[in-house]
Amino acid sequence: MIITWSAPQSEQSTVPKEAHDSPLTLHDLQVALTTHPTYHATFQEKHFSTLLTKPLMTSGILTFTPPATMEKHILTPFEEIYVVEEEQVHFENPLKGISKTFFLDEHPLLQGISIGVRSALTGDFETLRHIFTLKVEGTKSQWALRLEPLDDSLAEVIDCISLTGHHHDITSINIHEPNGDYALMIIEKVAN
Amino acid sequence: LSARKWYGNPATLWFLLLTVLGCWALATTRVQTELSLLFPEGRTSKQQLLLNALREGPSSRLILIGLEGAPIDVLTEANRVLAANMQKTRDFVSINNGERANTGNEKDQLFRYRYLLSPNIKKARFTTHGLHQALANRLHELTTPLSSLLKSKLPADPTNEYWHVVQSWMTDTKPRIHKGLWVTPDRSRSLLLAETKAAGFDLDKQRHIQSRIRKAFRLTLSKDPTFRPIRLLLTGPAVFAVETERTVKTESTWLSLIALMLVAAFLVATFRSPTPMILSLVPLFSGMVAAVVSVNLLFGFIHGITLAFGATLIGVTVDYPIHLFSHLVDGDSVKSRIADIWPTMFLGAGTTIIGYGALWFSGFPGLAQLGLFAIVGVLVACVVTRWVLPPLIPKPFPTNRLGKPAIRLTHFFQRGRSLFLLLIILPVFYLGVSTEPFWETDIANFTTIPREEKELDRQLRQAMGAPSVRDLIVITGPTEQDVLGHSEALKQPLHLLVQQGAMEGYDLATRYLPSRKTQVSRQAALPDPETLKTHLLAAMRGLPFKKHLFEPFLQDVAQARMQDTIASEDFQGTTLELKLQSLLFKDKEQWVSVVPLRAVKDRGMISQWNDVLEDPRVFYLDLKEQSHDIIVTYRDEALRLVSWGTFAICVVLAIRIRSLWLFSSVLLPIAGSLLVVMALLHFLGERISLFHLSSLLLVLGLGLDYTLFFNRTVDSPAQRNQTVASILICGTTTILVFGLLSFSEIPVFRAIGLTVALGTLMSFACSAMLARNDVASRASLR
Repeated sequence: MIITWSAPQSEQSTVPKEAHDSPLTLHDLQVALTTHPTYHATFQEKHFSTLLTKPLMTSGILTFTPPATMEKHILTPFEEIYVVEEEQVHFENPLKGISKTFFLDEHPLLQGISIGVRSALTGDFETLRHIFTLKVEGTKSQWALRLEPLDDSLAEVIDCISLTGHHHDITSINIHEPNGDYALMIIEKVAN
Repeated sequence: LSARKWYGNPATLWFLLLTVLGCWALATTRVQTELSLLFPEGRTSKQQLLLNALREGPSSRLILIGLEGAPIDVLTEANRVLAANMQKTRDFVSINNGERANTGNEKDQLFRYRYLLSPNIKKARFTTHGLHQALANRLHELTTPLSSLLKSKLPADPTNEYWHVVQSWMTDTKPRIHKGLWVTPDRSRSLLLAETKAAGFDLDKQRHIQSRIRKAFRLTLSKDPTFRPIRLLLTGPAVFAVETERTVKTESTWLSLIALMLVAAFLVATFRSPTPMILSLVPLFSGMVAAVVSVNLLFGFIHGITLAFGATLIGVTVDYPIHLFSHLVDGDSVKSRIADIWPTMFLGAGTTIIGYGALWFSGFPGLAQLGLFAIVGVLVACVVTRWVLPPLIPKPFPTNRLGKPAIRLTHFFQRGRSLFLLLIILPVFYLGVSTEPFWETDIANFTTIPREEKELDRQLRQAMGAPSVRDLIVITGPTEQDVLGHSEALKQPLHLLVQQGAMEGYDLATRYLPSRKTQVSRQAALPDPETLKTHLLAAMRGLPFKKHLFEPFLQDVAQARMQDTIASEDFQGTTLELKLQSLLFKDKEQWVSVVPLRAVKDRGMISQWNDVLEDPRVFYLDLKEQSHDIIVTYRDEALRLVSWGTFAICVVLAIRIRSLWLFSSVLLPIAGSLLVVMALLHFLGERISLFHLSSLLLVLGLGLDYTLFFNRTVDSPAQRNQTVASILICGTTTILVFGLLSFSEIPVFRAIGLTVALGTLMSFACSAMLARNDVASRASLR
């Protein structure tokens, strides 16, 4: 699947309606995602900031091992590893010699993203509904899920998270911050 | 009643005097409960004074509060309401539940002073190279979700000084946050930390504050039906102190009430009349009032411990009137009976006085007060029994029928006379081979705080990042700046100790508040606006930052160069104030900085470092060892004095008795009973403390009383029956009172109760075993 880099508000346009697919409900999506196996994918992420004159790019590998372990391994332009396991995060930056473990709730943004993506990946909409309002669009073969924080303290760091996908695969994650910064991650699944 | 008779009646005069003294005592006596007052002043080392300062310092004013019993979201909500309710009481310097740490003006404060507080401010940081490196790092951080909160500060703080300040301040154990408020790591409890305005040892105020917290909690519960299952947990030094006081008060009230009823019932049943019971109280109360008045006169105050312990000790003076009552025979005059038993009674009381007299020579105010209290109490009770009581006794005399059973009991013990040697050998042997520790050295075992409460306190402390510390380095100096400068100089050697593995870390006050000198030198490291601008523009080359992004940075650095330095007053009203106050405070004329050491592994290495330092203003304190030292010195002092007292008693007895055979039949039973009691206490798992030792002195006094009476010269078998019965009655009342005390949950009460109850039992048994049977004796005790 190919997605072109585009303006921040364009995530809706990445979901063209296909005539033969019936409109998707949250329940359909939940069922589709619940059957999720181990996940292994490459990603490219573009960070747009109001402080900068041009976006920053990173790329690497994403791994998800049910029920709750996610790893984001950045390979370029520098190596950096995040492993989120339940409520804990292990962070490594080999170049700077940093290796530390901390709790998710010390970093609200990371916590919001991790819980959002993890719960979406496993179809745990129960958890999602506690934290976000959920909106779904599109069809099974091409859907978009929009998560908006319910809680004020989370809304201070996250404006919304948009996920797009294809059946039970997630193909992009778009994270908007209230200050106007956003990051768009394109995910490509690697065959196991 | 003629005027002459009125004047001449000693009882009337005595009651007048007693009433006056009693009223005066009630009006003037100052009962103090501060433990520090019991420390010997002459020998008080600086450390001990400081220990007190620490105990009374800000950390003693902390109340740790936990809410549990409901889902964490509900607990968090209730926490917010409770904090608001507590705020209204105006009892607290601060109430912290994590909320203020997240909002508040504290962060603004830190941000404003970041260039004076950041440990990294050096000239190299603001060169083109230094700035370029910082900017490259910030660029990288824009791609991680970890630095989202710093992003807004980036234009004003590209070198990340604010982050460095926060990092260097972060304690290793900071509380977990749920929806902005503190929770335990397992999210089962929501947490609050309150600092009271009242001092931790001000028990009256603390009691009120704690009841107001409970009231605020009840108010909180009524606010929302979902709050209903929530339970309130309170811990902290002041909470423990109030609880201990309450436990001691209720226990002593109950125990003394039950003891009084038991003894009263026993005496009334024995004499078939309430008169002896009522009249026995006269010498006791007289002794008590006189003792309180004299201690108050001589020391200016009486300590709560002296009062409680002393009252127990002189409680046995009811023995004197009981001896008198037991010897009364109808048709005889009270005068002749009291004259008859007086020598024995006086010798018994005299030796007790000598025993406690030894304590009075102690340089330790606690022991000296106890000594004086017992001397005056016993002496007055004895004298009142001799001269005030007799005219008060109505005729016909109440008599008891315990004579025959008492004699039978004595014969029973006497049959075992040949086994007496075993009572000396077995305890010595048992104590010799036992490997269990004999002495009590842990001050924690004197407290009445249940284990679960201590564990709760530990859990809450850990969760709030306020663990109790055992190891400290103390820095003293004449001024705040002097102490701060001194602690900055210690940073290097302390760091070295960490690297050498002596400990895991330390918390210096200068970490939060650098000395003025350091702050000024940091200001001097900041470049002037022109230079900084040039360096910044050069540093930005090749990086995608927007052109005028860092204007706020240039302004802030320019401002920081002119800014006033930050002082401890500037932290007022912030959560850091508390932290700082516990690390840096004024104690009388000097300033003290306390450096808590974390996870100390090699105490030897640290004290060696301290010795080599040879700086009288810096010393290492192991709080556990200090309290251990206090216990051991107190105990050794008591042991030394008790030994001297025993020796003096022996000398007096030897002079008075002048018969080796009689002398040994008086002393041997006592030696035997003391040995058996010690072995029994040890066997029961008691570790011998100061309180056991002082109680043994009482056992010694009681034992002497028994053996002296057992060996008293009597003229007829009937008289002998009376004497043995009087010992039995005395012994029974003592065992009733102290046996009850040994069931107390309060370790000190239990120690006294167990020692004296066992001691009385053994004294009676041993004295009876070795008692003479003959009526007219060869050697006389008269």
